[in-house]
Amino acid sequence: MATELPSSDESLLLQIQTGNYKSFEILVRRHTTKFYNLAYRYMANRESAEDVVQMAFLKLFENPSIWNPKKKVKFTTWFYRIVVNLCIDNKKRHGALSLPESSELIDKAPLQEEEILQQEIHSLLEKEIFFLPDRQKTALILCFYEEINNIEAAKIMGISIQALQSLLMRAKTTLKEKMKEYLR
Amino acid sequence: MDNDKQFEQLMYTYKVPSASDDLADRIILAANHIKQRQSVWNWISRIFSELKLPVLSYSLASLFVIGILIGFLSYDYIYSINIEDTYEISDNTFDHFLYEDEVLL
Repeated sequence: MATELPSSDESLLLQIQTGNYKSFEILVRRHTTKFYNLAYRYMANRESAEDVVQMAFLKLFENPSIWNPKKKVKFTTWFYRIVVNLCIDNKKRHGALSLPESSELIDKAPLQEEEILQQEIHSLLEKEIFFLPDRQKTALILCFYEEINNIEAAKIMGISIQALQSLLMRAKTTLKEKMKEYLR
Repeated sequence: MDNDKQFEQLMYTYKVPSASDDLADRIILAANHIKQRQSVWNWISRIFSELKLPVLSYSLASLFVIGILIGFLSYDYIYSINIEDTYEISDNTFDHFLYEDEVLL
């Protein structure tokens, strides 16, 4: 009779620390999409986002003792930080000069005016978010798109809640300014 | 307020394209080729986990090993100072001491 594997992320991590490959597989399948979404919003490039997620998980597998259960931090909170740091490192390594891909969602069929406008908004938004300062971008992505509460987002970024709210406000102000044409 | 709502709606138009279908598979496969680094403690945990021993066994096993070591060290010490030999030597020495003067006399 097969032994039933523990289901919580933290239990899976403890198993991974003892070399349990199956637990790693479960963890990856459970969380790949979530962290890919975060990485994509950061990198604005599918290939880069997939690379970052892969690097993060492989880093965890190679050295599982970087997770310290005594700190009582949720896996997702902890792993978000790893993924964000890898995004920032990747961006620095490859340079911030490459513009985000704007062709991901372009439909090759003839488009209506509304659809053209939507794509224009999408491309501009993607570009403006991409070029936000790192901390503002991180705060915006975590709180707005990942819908993480302020307390957890502040923990991920290692800052106070006030600092987080300030970053969010600045990010939104910048984006509102850039997108004002579409807000009329 | 309307402006804020409009802004939020605009922000939500930013959709993420799906990841490759095989991303998770690729990650799992790549992990196959990686040698895990484990701390000594995790290595011990792994051995005990594979042998399905309870955690308390760590302490018991350690005590057992320490006990064996002390035992071996103590055995060497006792063997090198055998009491019977010591007694014999003392006896001879004592007799020699007692009767040494008699020879001269």
